[in-house]
Amino acid sequence: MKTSYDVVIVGAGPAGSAAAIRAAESGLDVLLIEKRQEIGVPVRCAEATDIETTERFIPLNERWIAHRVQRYAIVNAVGDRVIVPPTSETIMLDRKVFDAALAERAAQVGADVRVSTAAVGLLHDNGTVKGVKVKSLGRAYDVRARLVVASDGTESQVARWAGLKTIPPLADYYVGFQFTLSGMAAYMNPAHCEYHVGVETIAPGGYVWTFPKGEDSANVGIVIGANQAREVSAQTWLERFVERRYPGVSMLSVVSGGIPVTGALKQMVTNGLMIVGDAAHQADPLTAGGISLGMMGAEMAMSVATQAVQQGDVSARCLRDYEHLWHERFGKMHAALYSVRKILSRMDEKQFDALVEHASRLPIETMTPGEIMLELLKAHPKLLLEAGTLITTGLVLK
Amino acid sequence: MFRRNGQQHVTRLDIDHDKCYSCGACVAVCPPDSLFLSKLTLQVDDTTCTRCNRCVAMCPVHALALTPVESLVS
Ligand SMILES: Cc1cc2nc3c(=O)[nH]c(=O)nc-3n(C[C@H](O)[C@H](O)[C@H](O)COP(=O)(O)OP(=O)(O)OC[C@H]3O[C@@H](n4cnc5c(N)ncnc54)[C@H](O)[C@@H]3O)c2cc1C
Ligand code: SF4
Ligand code: SF4
Repeated sequence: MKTSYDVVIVGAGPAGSAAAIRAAESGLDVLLIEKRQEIGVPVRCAEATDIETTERFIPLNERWIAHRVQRYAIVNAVGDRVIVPPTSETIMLDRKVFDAALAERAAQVGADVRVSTAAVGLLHDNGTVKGVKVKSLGRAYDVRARLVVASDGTESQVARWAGLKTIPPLADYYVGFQFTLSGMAAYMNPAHCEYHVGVETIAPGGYVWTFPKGEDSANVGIVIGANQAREVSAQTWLERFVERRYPGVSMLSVVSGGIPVTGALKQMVTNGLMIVGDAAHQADPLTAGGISLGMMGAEMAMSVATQAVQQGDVSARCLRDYEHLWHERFGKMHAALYSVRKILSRMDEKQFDALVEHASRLPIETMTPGEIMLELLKAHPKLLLEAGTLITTGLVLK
Repeated sequence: MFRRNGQQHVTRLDIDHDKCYSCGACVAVCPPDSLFLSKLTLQVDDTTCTRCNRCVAMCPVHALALTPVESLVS
């Protein structure tokens, strides 16, 4: 068995497989390892993502597209809704099939893929990461590599082994729970993804989503702030919501999970190692969507890595261009989304209800985000103070 | 057996494997990196766990508890 590569990628989620695809395409010798016995199982996701990013990595295939949606709806606790078009066309994935297809794509373009293979430690030489220690199909051995990529998801430990600080504060970590429900036809518009917000009665510090997976089934899930889960668990909050809103439905599957919503780590590289995806906290710091962002992070990382490996310099100084690329593209926007989450979690439920009620009467589809914000500020001057944060981060009025 | 820095712990992290979904959320927030998902089974390193309670407070299904050692032994 081969035990020496240009790049070893740890974790075959969307970010790891996307990294493997890009690295192999640019001619590097790549190994992608995954500790689970089957890629993509169990699912830890609500499965909504955008077509545009997805199809840059893999040709669209109906095998893993469960459903398509046209609009997003933000719904308050009393049922008013604001309907907005997505910034890019949204699909509902069948992630079990998608994750496996993406890893298979990596194999097709030349990467070696090994499941049931866990990284259990790093190899170091003179302060530089030189590979991983693995346990694979019951055997332990070392795999040497010029570069290691940590794409090991929310439970990431690989970067910590290299001394990077990756532990999020509980206030910036979402814990989540989800049911796939059937019998939903009477309760939803199958063309709309819904976000239900209400800090007191729905989801403290987070939201509930109803994402249709077909005409009669949907992923209905919750995230709440990890610092607000001590008394009542995410599971219990979600059960209460489903009992109240969707009586009589059946449960087809259950998902539990967590996602960092800090915004991407400042430090995403060290000598001989890069971090991508959830492991690098690249998910959207408001919605926690991380499939596309992780794939884009992987792409940026590999564009820098290819040159670094070919030139034989994988020092942090050289790999750091990846951090610059990320922060240039997403830094400002994610700082703004982070502020929006903080503002929402401080707003009391009545205030938020009034805001949504007002917005639900505006012709949103014809307005720019700036016009919408100004209109809301006129009616709710108390928001001016909060909006200051957003304006300074440049999100709203550009 | 339950010593760290010469200190005797009176509690121990108890994982309810019937409830746990092996989602890894607790692993993400553990400061001393004492939790580990081996394939899909959550394990705790009792020698490094500081009993800080972070994982207990945030688990999406409340599958974790700091339990008095005597009640586990008996
Ligand atoms: C409840 C919930 C709902 C969500 N809904 C959405 C959504 O609708 N849309 C969206 O865009 N995002 C959503 N997300 C976020 C999304 O799931 C993640 O951002 C995405 O999966 C991150 O991809 P990744 O490749 O970084 O990590 P993962 O998909 O977590 O993959 C990491 C992989 O690494 C493996 N691994 C870990 N450690 C090791 C090791 N030591 N050795 C080998 N392999 C290892 C794991 O087994 C895993 O397969 C949701 C998350 C949750 C929890
Ligand atoms: S957070 Fe809870 S459900 Fe998830 S792995 Fe830890 S103990 Fe299990
Ligand atoms: S109690 Fe604290 S130290 Fe112990 S496993 Fe939980 S988070 Fe880690």
